[in-house]
Amino acid sequence: MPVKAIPKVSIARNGVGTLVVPCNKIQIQYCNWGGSSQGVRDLLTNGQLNNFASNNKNIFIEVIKKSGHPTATFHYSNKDKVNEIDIKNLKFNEVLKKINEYSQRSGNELFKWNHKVLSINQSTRGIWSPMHEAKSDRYKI
Amino acid sequence: MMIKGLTSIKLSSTSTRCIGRTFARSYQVAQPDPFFKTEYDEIDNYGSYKNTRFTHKLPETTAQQSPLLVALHSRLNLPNKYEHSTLSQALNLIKNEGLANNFGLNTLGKNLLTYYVSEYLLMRYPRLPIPVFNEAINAYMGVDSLYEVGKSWGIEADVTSKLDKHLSQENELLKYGRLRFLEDSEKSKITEDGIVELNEYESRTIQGNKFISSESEAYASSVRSIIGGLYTHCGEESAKKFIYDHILSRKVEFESMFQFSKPTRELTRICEKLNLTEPISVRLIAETGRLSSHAIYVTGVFVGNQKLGEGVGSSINESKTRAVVNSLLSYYLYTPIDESGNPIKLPSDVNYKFEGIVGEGDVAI
Repeated sequence: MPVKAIPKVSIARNGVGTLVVPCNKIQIQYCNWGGSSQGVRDLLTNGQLNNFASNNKNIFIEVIKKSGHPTATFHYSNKDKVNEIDIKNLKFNEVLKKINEYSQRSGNELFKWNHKVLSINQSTRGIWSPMHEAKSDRYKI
Repeated sequence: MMIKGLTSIKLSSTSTRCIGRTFARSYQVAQPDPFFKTEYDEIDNYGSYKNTRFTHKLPETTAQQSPLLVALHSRLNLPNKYEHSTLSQALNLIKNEGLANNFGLNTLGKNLLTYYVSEYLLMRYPRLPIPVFNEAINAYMGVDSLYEVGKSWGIEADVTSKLDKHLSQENELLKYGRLRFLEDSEKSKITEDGIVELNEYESRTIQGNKFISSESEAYASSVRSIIGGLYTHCGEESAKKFIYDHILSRKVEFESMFQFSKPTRELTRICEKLNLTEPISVRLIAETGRLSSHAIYVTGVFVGNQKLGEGVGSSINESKTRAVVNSLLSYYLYTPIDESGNPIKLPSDVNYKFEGIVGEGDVAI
């Protein structure tokens, strides 16, 4: 056999071809009695959460009634990441803002990239090489 | 003792035929699954094949009430024509619960995937050697890749038993939106971290120290079935677009899939095959100097005046080998383009006219 093959798995490029929103499930847990859940209860009664759900049909929203401070749990299909946030004592519009924000995340940890490009593709132009200058222009060691 | 062993094989395995002896068959033979009670008028009259076991499909109105199904449907941007009940069927791998399972959709989806992926590879990379071609097909539509695809679509596996569902008062409709591949007895199995008990299917897939878990196979089969369902509801064109959007849009690093044993000899054979009469020469193009602290050499492979490839290395030998490997890669990974510089059309495109090249086959060394 002249050449052997090395098995590889294809690498996902979400957004090339099509975009599948990584956030697929939101669990909102609230208490029917406690004051810290007032905002969530308002959100549930004024129909804003229904609006959000019908605008984001790709997200499965589960509302859980349980005593204690309210939380929102976001499930991402990206490496099965789960992100639980505290939404106690927030007004209903602040809760909605949180839900909007977290439902648009990829599930990856936020980080700062201090370089120009982050890519899995090779540069089209190639890397500059000092060895390919004309011989007269090369730096002499 | 022996009879005991035989009966257990007869009961558990449907793919091995045991007549007094057991065969360790290494190749696949298509056999009808007796579960479906397939009947036919004549064996070669394929139109008359019928599965007579009664199964029913989930009613569309019920399926539309399952939030998981609606969410998945919308996440994948499936057309309205695509029924939610078909989506639910695509997620069902269990045969004996009365609901239609994804056996047929899976086969259909697999055939579609095989066609479009191999068409794409054959036309885009006509010179890929056969072993690499096969691995490339695997990289796009192997179980591992489709498992990742299924996971990225947010498909949930159904891992809780009937009793647990009852105790947690879970809505029954949720079940129909989950990937169902475990029987109830398997769900309540006690597991231990770091220890995996292989079931019958998994132990058949062992290669080296790797195996295909039935979970990943289930995810892969659901992905294939969803493609098969798209074909049945919306036709070939949209199934093709779906495959291009979700499967072929993924990146496969072909350059790192080659393992050459004797690259220089292989390059010589290829040049002979291409009738390049002038001899190959591997020549040094530039160097930083032998006495520099980190010497770097640039080497080129030439046939006459034509440069086939170039390599950089920290020793002359390394740079030579890299140059040869690079020229081999640039031959094998050649992609034909049309007159205007676009990728050539594929046979399944409209107004297809053959352009590009046909690969000339592998060389022997």
